[in-house]
Amino acid sequence: MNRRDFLKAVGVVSGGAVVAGCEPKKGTYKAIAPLFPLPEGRAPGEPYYIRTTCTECPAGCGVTVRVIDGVPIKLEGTPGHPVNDGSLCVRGQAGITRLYNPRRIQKPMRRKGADGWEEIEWEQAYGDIIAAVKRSRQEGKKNLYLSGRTSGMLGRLIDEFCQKTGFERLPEYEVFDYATLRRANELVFSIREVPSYNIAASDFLLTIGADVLQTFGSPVSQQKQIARAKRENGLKWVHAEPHVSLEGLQAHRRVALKPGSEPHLLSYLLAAYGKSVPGAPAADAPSVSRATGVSEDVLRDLAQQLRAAARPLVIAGGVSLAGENGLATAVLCAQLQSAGGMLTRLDFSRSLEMGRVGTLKDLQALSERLEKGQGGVLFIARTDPAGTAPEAMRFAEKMEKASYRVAFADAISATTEKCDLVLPLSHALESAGDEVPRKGLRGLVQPVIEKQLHDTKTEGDILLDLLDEMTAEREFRSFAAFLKQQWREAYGPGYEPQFSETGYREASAKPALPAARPVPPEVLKTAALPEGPTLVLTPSVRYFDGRSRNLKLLNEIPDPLTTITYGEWVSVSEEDARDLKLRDGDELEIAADSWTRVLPAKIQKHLPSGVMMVDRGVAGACPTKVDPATGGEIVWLTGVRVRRTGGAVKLPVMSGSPSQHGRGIIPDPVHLKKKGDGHDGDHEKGHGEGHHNLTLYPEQEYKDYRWAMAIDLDACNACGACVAACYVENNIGMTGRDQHLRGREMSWIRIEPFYDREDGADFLPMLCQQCDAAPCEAVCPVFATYHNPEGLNAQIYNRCVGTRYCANNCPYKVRRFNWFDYRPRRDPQLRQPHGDFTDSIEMPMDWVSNPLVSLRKRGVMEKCTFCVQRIREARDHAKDKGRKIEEGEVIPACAQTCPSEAIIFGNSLDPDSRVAKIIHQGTHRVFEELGTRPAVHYVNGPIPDAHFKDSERGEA
Amino acid sequence: MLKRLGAWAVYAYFALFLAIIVALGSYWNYLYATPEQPIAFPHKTHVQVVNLKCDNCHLYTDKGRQAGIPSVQKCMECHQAVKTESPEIQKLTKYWEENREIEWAQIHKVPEYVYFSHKRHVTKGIPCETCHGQIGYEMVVHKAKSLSMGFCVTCHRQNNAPVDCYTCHK
Repeated sequence: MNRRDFLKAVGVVSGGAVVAGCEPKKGTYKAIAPLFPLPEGRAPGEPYYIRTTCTECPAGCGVTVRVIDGVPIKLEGTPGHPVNDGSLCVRGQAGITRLYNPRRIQKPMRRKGADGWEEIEWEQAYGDIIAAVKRSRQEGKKNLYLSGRTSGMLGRLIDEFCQKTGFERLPEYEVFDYATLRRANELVFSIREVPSYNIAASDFLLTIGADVLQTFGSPVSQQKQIARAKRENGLKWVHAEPHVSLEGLQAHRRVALKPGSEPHLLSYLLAAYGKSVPGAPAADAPSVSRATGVSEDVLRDLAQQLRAAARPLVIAGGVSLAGENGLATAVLCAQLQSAGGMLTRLDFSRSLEMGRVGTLKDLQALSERLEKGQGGVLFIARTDPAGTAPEAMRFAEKMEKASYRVAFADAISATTEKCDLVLPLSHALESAGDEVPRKGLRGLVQPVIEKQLHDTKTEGDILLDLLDEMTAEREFRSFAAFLKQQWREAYGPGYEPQFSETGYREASAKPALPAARPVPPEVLKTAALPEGPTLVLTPSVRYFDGRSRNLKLLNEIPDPLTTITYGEWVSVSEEDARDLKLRDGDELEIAADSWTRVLPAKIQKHLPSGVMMVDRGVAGACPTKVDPATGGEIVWLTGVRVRRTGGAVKLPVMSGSPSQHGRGIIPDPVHLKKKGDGHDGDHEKGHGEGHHNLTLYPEQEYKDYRWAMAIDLDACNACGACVAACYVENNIGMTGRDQHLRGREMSWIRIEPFYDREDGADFLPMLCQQCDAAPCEAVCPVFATYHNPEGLNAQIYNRCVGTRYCANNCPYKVRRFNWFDYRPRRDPQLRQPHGDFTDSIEMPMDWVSNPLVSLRKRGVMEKCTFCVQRIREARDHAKDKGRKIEEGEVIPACAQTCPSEAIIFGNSLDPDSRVAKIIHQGTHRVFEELGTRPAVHYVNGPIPDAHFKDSERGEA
Repeated sequence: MLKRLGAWAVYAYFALFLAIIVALGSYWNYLYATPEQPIAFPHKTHVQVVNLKCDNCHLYTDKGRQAGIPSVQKCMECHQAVKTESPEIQKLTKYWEENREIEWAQIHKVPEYVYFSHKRHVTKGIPCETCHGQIGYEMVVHKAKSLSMGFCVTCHRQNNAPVDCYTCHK
């Protein structure tokens, strides 16, 4: 092509581009005049906040919802709430996407034909139910009401409904029912409950299998307490476990046990307190060492540390209680708590509210009744037994023997698939209600969104409607009216302002010290686990018991240990992988009894040989067993058969490398570093200062602000809450599995695990380092990225032309490119319970977008901005008052939600700011030797705390 | 390539270009025509005759980013009694009776990626006319100023207001 042809071609193309680039038709932009003026104190487009309670798990954290123009935008933790004090976990942050989840059921659905559904009106649905109830009464069958954990006033309404209509209310079904722990506490303390653990008051914590950071008890509260106790009491945390979990890698020390050997360890520790429990396993060091696989030195050291601690605490839970020896472990743990003087730190006056949660034995009894054809109309509310109960129970098949099955659900599940009628439930942000996470604490659930998204109702309203139709009496107009009356009865008149202001009510409780009593020796009988491959189902920080698996955001965020995002896998130890000649992604066929599953393998360091792990949320119904002693679930599948299929799939592993390759990304094994050994200071001089002066560029000069961040790696638990908060706050696109396999994830903050140490791993939260000498800025040909006068490496999206030079030049890999348009778009696969999420975000997910952050188009680079919209908002408030932005006024989304308060943000030019004090102490900056001079500083506790004076910290 | 195709290819090429320009020219007027509003609302009558101030109806000019369009109820506060015989007011009454919101066509708008706060400008004492022109003298609102980035930055420079990109770009 010669020059003239080229120019002409350019002319044609540009002419076309002008036409194509024309604005859309005039008048398509509508400004809608509201019917009524806004309530006092609100302005259009300005955020306001409403208190409610998170319903993602039983922990019941307080939530403050950020609402703009009647649409909830983001969930934030309620500051000062007794459970979570301002933080939320990864599931809580993603909770808002459940409201807008495209997989929600939008209208009542009636079964039509073998596998079809038809949408019907509520009146028709009620008609069907009433007809079915009549039929089953004539047939003399019992109508049954099965629900998930129910707390608060809804339980009373269910009772009233059952009583008036002759339904039988069954024990509630919950996957994490703490059956074994409750049984053990009943045996030892005569209290069949799970106490609140006062970790904040301890200085030594030994957790045995308990996933205190993920699902056990109240995870946000426990994370917060662990972080505070580390800061204030110098807490030392040891985690003993038979597999490998986030807790093991985050604790100061991990003790690897042989599966099922927990009673031996506890027996040894009890002996250290001079206590022998009849029936417990032998407590002499050699035999305990043999049984547990822990060396005698480590055992002695552990016992010595436990004895030396002033306020120790031992917690057993999770997979350690879900084995054949679970009850023995739990009972011995309770005995140890008693012998070690830890009972003051077990608060049974604030026990977890388990409602009427039964055990798997109750579900077993139900399935037997159903088998015999005794079931009439079966209501199943907010729970998925067909998808989660042990496979041997065959609950899905037996369910079908009930004469008519009605599900109350928000999305399709294995249970709804077996029902005749599905009634869609409103989301908590659309409903009135209450939630009792623990005794004495009631969290308020109130409607936040102005208009319901779909034709849904709350369970309470459905029951009131049905009562109206069946008994022709209507006492309450709505469930909200019922609740108000109940609350008034409970708290007296005038309760309302305080309740809606704080979002909770807490009754003062006097903790009563439980007394331990001896237990019959036969409950302590232990059995050694059979040899051979064992599969364990692990609780999951992302999916809980599987209930969160249909939220795309939680699939987009990596699993903390493996950094796998979408899909399923089985974790295999390094030894087993060597034996089976496995590489990541090779498919394994796992079989137990009649159950078979093909899963890709992921090699997991530190996993004991012979143990394989599958995420509880992924496994679904599989051959778990029922513990005959407690009714709990046994999640250790022994004697599984493992075979390589020869096939392989690519796993979406987000981590670049499991190793730092000696580059000093994290300077030293941070968890092992002792406080006050002067190492930090030396390091700063030897490493940071040396590179400081090697610059040819002029110093950056700042006038009022230089935004900076410090991250406490000792406090960081790699739970991923910050990642979820960032996604929601900054409208980050969800790209899906295919894009992840190409390495095109969009997260602005990620957590990199490094498995370099022999006894653990290090985790590093990585976000834009907002460098002073940023390599990205210099190479942008269009000035879309530049150094902002307040130190931010700004990125102006509409100026960006997508050369990607900046991302190429960034040593931190924190710039993300929009390869496609990841903005919300409609997706046809609406009704798939676990669709493979290959497409971009679906409607109505576009609602969740934050209007203060622009949506990025295809071909644009994007990155962390330190939440510049929050800086702008704080500046707006400061300007109103005619002053500068003050410390604590700007909190980025990641720092705000962090359960362990590991992220500190502020203005480093202000010498009184926390971040400036931390920087002054000496910190580590990643790749400082490159001369980028980042503004994100990594420290390793202790950090100056706003709440505590320096002198207090000195003593700690 | 051109030699083989002959001269007509060159003519066709320029003819095509001419056609594009003509098409664009005719489309241009359509594009920049003031759109039809659901109700012919005269700012002039309200400001010049009734002597209302801007913030009598646009309640949030000094309270938030958006100035706020008056609610239908706000209109009805006066128009329940005033000029009820006018066909335009009857349109308004119909909206009110049917409980419907009015969808005004937006004239003054900035792109989605721009942050603009009325409050910051109004509390600085910048008159509405700076951006909205002589809106109080208009029977039909039209866009008097370009509201382009150049328009904003010129004013910011003259008044020593911040010109960091992050001031306006979000």
